[in-house]
Amino acid sequence: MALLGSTSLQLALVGTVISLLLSAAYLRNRDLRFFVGAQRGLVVAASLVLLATFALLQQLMVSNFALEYVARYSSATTPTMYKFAGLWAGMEGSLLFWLAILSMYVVLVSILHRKRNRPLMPVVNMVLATVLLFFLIMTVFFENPFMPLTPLAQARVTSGMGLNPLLQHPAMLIHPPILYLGYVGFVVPFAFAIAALVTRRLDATWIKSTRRWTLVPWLFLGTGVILGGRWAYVELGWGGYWAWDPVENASFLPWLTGTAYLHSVIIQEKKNMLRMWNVVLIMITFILTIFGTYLTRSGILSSVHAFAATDLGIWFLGFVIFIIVGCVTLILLRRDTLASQNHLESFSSRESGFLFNNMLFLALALAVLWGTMFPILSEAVRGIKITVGSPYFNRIMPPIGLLLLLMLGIGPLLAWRRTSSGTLRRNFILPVSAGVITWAIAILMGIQRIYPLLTMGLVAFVATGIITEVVRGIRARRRSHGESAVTAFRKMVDKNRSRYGGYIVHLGMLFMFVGFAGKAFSVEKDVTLGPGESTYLKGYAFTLENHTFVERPNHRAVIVDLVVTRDEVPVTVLRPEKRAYTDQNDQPNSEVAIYSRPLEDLYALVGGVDPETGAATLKIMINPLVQMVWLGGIIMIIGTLVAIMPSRTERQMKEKLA
Amino acid sequence: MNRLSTILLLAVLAGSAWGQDAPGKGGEGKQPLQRSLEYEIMAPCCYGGPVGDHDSQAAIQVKAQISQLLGEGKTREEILDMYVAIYGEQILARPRARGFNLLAYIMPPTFLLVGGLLLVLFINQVKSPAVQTAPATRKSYGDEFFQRIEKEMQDLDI
Repeated sequence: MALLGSTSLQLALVGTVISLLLSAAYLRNRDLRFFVGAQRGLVVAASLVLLATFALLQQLMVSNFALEYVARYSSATTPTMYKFAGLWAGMEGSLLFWLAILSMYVVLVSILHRKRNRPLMPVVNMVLATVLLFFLIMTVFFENPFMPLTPLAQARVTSGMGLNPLLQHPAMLIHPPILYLGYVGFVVPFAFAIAALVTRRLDATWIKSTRRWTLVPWLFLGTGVILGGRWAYVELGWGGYWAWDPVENASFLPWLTGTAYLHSVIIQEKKNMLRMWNVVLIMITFILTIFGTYLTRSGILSSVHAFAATDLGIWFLGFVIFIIVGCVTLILLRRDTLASQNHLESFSSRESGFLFNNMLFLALALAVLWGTMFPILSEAVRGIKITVGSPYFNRIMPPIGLLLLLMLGIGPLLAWRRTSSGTLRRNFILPVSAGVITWAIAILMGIQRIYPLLTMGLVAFVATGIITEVVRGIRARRRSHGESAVTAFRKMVDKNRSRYGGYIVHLGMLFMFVGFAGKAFSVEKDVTLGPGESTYLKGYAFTLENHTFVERPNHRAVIVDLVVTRDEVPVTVLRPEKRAYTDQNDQPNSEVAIYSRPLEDLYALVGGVDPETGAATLKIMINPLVQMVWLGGIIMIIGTLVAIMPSRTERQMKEKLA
Repeated sequence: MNRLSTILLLAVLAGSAWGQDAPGKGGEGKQPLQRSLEYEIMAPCCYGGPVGDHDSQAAIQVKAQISQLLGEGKTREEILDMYVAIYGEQILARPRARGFNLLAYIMPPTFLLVGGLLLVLFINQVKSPAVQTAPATRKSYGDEFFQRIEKEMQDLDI
């Protein structure tokens, strides 16, 4: 099977090169047979990559420790589901996984665009093949997961080194694949943008064709980021979900620029403006995905998520530069066709709102990039290592985030083309009042911190704006169609899914902002408790009842029973664990215990237990409103799905065409 | 329905606000300065995160030292200086806003300002000449006319 995997990768490399040559031949001779050959060659190469991925998975499942990769990231005692996660646990496997996801997209694009966008497809095919070729070269020549162990090492390896304990969590089974689906997926709209530039077909057609191809990776990337946050919260044991770690930032950056793109394409669709801007935005988004892969794999920045430093960094950097040079050259060659065909009419228009929103997303992305790269810059200039961690980002980001929140509220209240002063008054009066009243209530309740205060007011402002918009729409439909409120709402959403799906996403964002504001009020305590002793935090009593030792297949654990009461009424029993992974040289790992209530989480971590006295070292936290972050994430996913799903009219048209 | 939604929303927000600042009946956690310092100093074992987020021996030791130094009456700056003297600037979770490091703090607002300025210039540039003289036209038609058009356009958009 290992031989099959290795050979498949090599054949995929050959197939991709052939596909690229045939694409070039087609662009030169315009003989359709070359293009058909190129497309088939690419699909075959993609299928071979999928076969190789299956082969590696099979080797992980059967624990073939003759392969170096399997021996390093799996063990005989690793639970089966985590053997599966071994696929993306190491550099070689994760590159193959990148390739597998890319291959799936390649096959899907080939199938779904068999009859559509014919003029664009040869170039799309070529771009996809180029990216596939780069990752195949990296995998085949530098990080091949099918390399055998030397006989000497084989003699030493009896049961494998096992998977990193931090990765042995259910979230790690879905977080990386979903994140990769997002990361890699942006290659499709990027390929279409390049094709539109090359073929000078820069009207809104390519944008409409790739709307779902953009929404899908955006959804996956966002979901992956949220799942990563959830994993960090429940597994890493520091009580937070976002640490502004370089690798986290690397996944956040394309999401930010992708979000800007999703907003600005609306202007091109409606007004045929911002052609160049949209092309540039999707290029930046794709470049950031490759740059993020470079950050993760080069070892230039220290991160808990990064792979060990390898020679790959320079290759990735070279590829990023190649893409940037290619994109800039293409834009310069096509600048005549990228000019806007229309004009803006007023500052107080929805178009301007979208543009300001774009500017803020980009400023946020630049600020994140700046903070992420600043340690490298500082070291290069001053020769001194510095750290730019979460306290820096927590100081820099909130003002920009709040401005973005403000725009989230203002944008939908503006009319297309221009907003008269009367409409401004009418649309803003209720949301502004809601914001001001919320501020007043919060101040009266004694909240003094500026950011949470601003967030609450702005959240009320934005939410009221969205609700007002929806209610106004329902009223208009009821007036014109005589429908019930429910039917009017359903039909209104179905008729304009992208708009109302967007509003749902905005509502999800609001919940998340409320959750972020809650972080400012979290409290914590480090304490050592003997059996029967109690500690108090925010009105809760935490009493250490007892502890138990357990043996599981690949680890030993000590479990602490922490009884929680409030006003002497039992609330819950928290059972944090301290584990020692036997297949990882007794590597310690803490398993957090969380009791979630709608408005706050009780969070406990055990540092260790004295076996003689039974005293436990504990970290206890009370994290307000964390649930709002996850709820917001779920609402955002629902909103995006609403926007992605075809409307009834679209479905009927498809049925007719079929 | 409109009013009801607003009231419900305000109630939810007010409820969450209530939950947040409710005074605790016992135990308020760490002192703000202690907590803030624990998130300003990186764990010297791996520099993977602030000591407040770490439970390594080195991090636990630093946390205890901070508590002791605060107990001795040392100020925030004195404690940070002490750690910088031992471990170098890398020990600080965020660079001090001095010298070259000032750039770290200046650039993000600069991105925002420059972006905003460029955008205003861009919008001015792409605003159609006909509309730049629009105030006169608007006066002659009045707000009601525009409101009607906007309302009809919104209805069409639904």
